[in-house]
Amino acid sequence: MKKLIPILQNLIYTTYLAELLPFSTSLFFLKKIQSRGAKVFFFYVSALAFFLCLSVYFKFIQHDRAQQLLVNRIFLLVEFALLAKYYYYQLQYKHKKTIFLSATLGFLFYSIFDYLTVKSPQDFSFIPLVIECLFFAMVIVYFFYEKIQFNLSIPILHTSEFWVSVAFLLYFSGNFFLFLFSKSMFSNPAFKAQYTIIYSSITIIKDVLVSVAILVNVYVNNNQNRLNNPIDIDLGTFNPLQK
Amino acid sequence: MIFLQATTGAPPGSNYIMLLGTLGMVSLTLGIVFFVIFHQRKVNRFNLDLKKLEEEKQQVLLNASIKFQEEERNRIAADLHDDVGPLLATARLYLNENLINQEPAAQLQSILSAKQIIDDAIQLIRNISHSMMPPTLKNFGLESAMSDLFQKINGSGNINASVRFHDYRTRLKLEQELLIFRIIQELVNNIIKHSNAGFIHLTQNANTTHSYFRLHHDGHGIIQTEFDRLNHVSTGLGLKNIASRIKVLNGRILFEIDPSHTYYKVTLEIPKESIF
Repeated sequence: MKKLIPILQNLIYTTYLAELLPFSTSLFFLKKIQSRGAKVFFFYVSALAFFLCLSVYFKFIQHDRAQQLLVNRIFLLVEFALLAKYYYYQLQYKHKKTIFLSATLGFLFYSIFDYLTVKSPQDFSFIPLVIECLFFAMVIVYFFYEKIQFNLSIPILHTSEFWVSVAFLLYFSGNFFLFLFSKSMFSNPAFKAQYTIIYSSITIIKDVLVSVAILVNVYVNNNQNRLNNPIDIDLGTFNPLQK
Repeated sequence: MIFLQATTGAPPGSNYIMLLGTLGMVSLTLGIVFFVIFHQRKVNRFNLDLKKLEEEKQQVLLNASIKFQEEERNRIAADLHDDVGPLLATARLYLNENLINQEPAAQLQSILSAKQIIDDAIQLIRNISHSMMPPTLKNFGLESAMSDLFQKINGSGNINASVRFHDYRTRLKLEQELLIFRIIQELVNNIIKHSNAGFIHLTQNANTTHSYFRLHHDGHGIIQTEFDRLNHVSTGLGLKNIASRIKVLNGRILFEIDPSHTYYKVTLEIPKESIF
């Protein structure tokens, strides 16, 4: 177990770096972020990077676990709201506005309730995470259903929404059981090691896939621009009326 | 939530449940993703095949229409060359330079003969022109033109032909009428040539958006699948011309057999909105 500790530490640091990858990738292609969905997603990756830095600051510099957990809770709320907004733009379902608004408000109230009822500020409840996983797993599966139903004009692999959805479906479904059991087993060191391995692996894969989504968005935008370019023919050299 | 509360006791073996659960969820996710990708590829491939078939059909129709135009031109050229040309040449012979040296009686005879020949030539040219655009159709509309055509068929005595227009108060555009006339003419020709029918009956009706024409006959007809099949084979121009004219009119055609199997029906659905 002791031999594992440095490996796990490295894995955690790698995960921190991976979490910054989508933000740094999107910084390179800021001009290509045009659609409303892409803008919301850019806010999400920026929020992820910002809260990650804040969390690292409280953990490694201030050594204040209560503040770090509070930052995590706030990020969870921001993440829920931004992802809800992102899928609000992606879905065509007619009652989506009511569903996403009520889900976001419900999640906000439950998170506040959870924060107020937790035994100590050092304690972290995983229930909001489990709820988020369940909700977005369902939304993403429905998103795929809609894609099968309606979108046939563009190959699905060429859309950034597809890669974002794959990343988050993998992240939420892969971590679902982990978060579910965390409440009761986080005091167990063996579970903690297992948690770190599974969570870090899935998070790194998610971040790589999200970065792929940003690159796919750039590729599709470039190709669309090329199609819209006017054909460059110089008509000035041919003028039969000019003597 | 109930499940969450139940797990707070952390029973032995929870580790395996968690691992298996996580593995199961990841596999499920991958399964869904691959299903979506393969399903879309399958649908796209199907759509591409469909598009290809449609393009092939368009090509066949285009070839048929070009071939039809060429045949029509050849027919007109042959009519002019074989009938009108010799007539005018003969008239020229009567009106040659020696006419002035002939007796007045012979001169008059020559002029009368030449006049008769020129009249024949005029009639021939008129016939050619009428075959291109029936004058009844141009002057009195589709209803009169169809009645004319069916009267001529009836006059032959071999087949009983009748027409009934229920609602043709407002005429379609001349281009539309000509195309409909040609389609019905071709259908009637086919029925006379191939079906051995005892009667042909044409009815017309309309609603606010479409005009409908239906031909009934008691001979050996074809149904829609057969029409579609014949449309794809390279031989035979008639049905392809019908299909291409229907396409130009933005209409539909349906070949059916009556449930009692006593007669065949061909229905044309033509939008009133003109695309010309």
